[in-house]
Amino acid sequence: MAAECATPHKHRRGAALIIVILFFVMISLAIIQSATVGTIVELRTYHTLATSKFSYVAAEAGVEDIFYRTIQDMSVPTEETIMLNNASSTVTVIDTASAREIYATGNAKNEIRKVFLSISRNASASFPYGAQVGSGGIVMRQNAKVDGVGLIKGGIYSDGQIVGANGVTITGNAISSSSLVPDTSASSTACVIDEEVGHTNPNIDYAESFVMTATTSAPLAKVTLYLKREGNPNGANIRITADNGGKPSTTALATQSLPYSSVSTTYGWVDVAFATPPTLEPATTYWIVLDSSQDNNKYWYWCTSNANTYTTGTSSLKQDWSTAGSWTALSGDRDATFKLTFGGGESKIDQVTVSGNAKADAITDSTIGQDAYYQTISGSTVSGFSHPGSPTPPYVPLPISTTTIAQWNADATAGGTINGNCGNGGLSECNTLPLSLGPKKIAGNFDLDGGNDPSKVLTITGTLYITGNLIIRNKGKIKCDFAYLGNSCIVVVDGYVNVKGLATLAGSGIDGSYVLLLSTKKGCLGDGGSGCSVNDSAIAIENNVDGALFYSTDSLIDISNNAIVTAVLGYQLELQNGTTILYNSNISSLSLTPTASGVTGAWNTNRWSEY
Amino acid sequence: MTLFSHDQRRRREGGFSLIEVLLYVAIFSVISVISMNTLFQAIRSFDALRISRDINDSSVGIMERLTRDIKGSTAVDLGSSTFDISPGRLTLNTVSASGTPLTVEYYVSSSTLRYKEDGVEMGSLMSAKTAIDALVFRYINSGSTIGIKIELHLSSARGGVTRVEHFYDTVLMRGTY
Repeated sequence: MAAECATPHKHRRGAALIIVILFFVMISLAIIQSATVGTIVELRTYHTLATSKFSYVAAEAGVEDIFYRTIQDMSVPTEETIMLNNASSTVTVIDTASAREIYATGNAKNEIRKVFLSISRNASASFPYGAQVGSGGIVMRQNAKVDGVGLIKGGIYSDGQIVGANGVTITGNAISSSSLVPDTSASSTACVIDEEVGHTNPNIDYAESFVMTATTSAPLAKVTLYLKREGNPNGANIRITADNGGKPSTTALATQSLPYSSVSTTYGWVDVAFATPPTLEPATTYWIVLDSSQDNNKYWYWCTSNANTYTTGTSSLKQDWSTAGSWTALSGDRDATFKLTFGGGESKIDQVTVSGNAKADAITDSTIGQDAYYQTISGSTVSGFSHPGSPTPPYVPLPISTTTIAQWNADATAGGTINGNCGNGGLSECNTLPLSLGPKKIAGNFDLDGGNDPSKVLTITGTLYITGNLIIRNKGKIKCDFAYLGNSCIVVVDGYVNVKGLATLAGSGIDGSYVLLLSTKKGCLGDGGSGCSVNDSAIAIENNVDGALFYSTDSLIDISNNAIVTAVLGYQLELQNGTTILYNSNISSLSLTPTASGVTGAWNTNRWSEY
Repeated sequence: MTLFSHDQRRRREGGFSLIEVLLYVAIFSVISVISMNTLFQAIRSFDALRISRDINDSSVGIMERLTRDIKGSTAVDLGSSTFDISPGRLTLNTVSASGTPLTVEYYVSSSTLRYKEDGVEMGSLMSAKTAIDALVFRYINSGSTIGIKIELHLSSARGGVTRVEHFYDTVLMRGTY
């Protein structure tokens, strides 16, 4: 203030204030200008982005239109322009020998996006692993190997366990997943009212009905009940039964004992896993039956809700579930506490040497060359990084769907049916080798006995569908016709497949062509089953095969006798002592065609890209 | 003496009373404080604007690139991908513009999303001013169709202003059906 007083301030009155305000205004203006310019630029960017999405959607619409016209057998123009919400799509269709290529250019206010789609009648399927296994898991006996040709890595993807033994090595990654999925909708978790089970008559057997949420059939791996016990009750079982007019059926689909040691004297969730899981159908009512015996001092408590907490199901009780007669519904429409888990397989890797990454919930007694992803690990060495607390690897279904297999069967049947056996001892029309066959359905067995004569070859000219068994022996040989070129041919077998005695399988002779040998046999899981091959398998391979891909949808593939095989896919796999899977990356993406000339069959997408 | 003459001069020139001076100081302070506050507010708002622009630019860049690559790819390399936890890693088997097979790998390194093509480092996919708090990939396989769900959490800080944004997208692999 002193300075201000000292100066003659007649002309400077309020100057500081004006300077401050001026300063403020200038800075504000600078900020506003900068912000406005930025916002305008951003607005323009997002406007362009939104327009480009219009353009993209238009291009997609053009591609989809041609795809739809193709699969519906409608006329397909070589060029067309369609309009969509002020955007246009110009489509060009080019037919090549093996595929139909669709190029679409979308244009919205001069923002251009281009989409390419290639479709053909070939079913391309990718087989990126030496062995891909379903919930049945893979067992590798002593010195069994999964390797790759040269520097290529084989690798295993299993939806179940990977169990090794001494000297078992896997070149590449080993991933063990699990298909166990809890049914979060079909459950009742409210515990309010105690129900004494097995204490006084007639409150001896209790049942709760349910309907699975999934829309495809699935094995019921376990039920989880909220239970406690009084004393040490014995002889209780958990049963799954079908519905019989609103009450449990008197025969069980699955039974598992409930030992009192698994139940505490205070309430807790008790897992009951079925040794042989029942396969349940969607939209069908089933019952969980807690079947106990009467005892005054030793009995169970099954907790229930006090209202209708699970509206799809009901709870009932009866003195003996296995006798005919009516059940008594629990008062107040209460539901017993339960949870369901569907699926199968256990995520675990045991006693193997893996050169790449290993991923599983539990890793035991293994040597991992690179990183390990797990929840628990014991007795193992990891050369790379360890990732404890990793989630279970994703469940990966086998790559060929039942719809595709049904289509192949239809392709084969379209070529005519042979009613009877073929090959050795078969009908005259198909018992003399060499023979060219397909597409054809064979309603019988095929015994391909080569008689140790290398000229006795079965040449496949179209998809074969054999309803019985296929045996290839004594130097018997199957190959794809040369006209398949780089594509692969298909043999679908409903029974078992047995490859032995120096049998040979080969593609057309061009790189990337293989025979796909697929068995849909059910129930051959290495422990009995009827009509199975060696070691109760659906596909038994007893000599080296480098020209085929083996695929079992529901059963065991057994490789024995020191055989070396290129790649296998199956529900379950067993590699006997000293056997090897030697993966070839040619197989990673196979183009499967119904006939050598590739003019029949369903249309599939081969490749999609923006260009 | 000086004091006296000073006083005299003041009186001669009209001068200020103490109250006037105090009033002036008070008004000056209030207006200064208000304008400074407003200025700082404006600067903060500007920072917030720039942060949200950084985050948006990064998210659009990442999401557009990922969706385009996932749509065009033929398969996911499950052995070299990490799902369901952060930081996720996604390795796609795809095809280059010329039709040759190509492996593209997306991974997080020092809070930025980077990618490799056929094992060769290609650089970062986002603005240097933003950081990835979490990136999770989820794998969806229905048997006939494969999809990837992307969960992206981005943050950015500038001049004491921090902002976190969350982005989600699910992409089907067009090459799989």
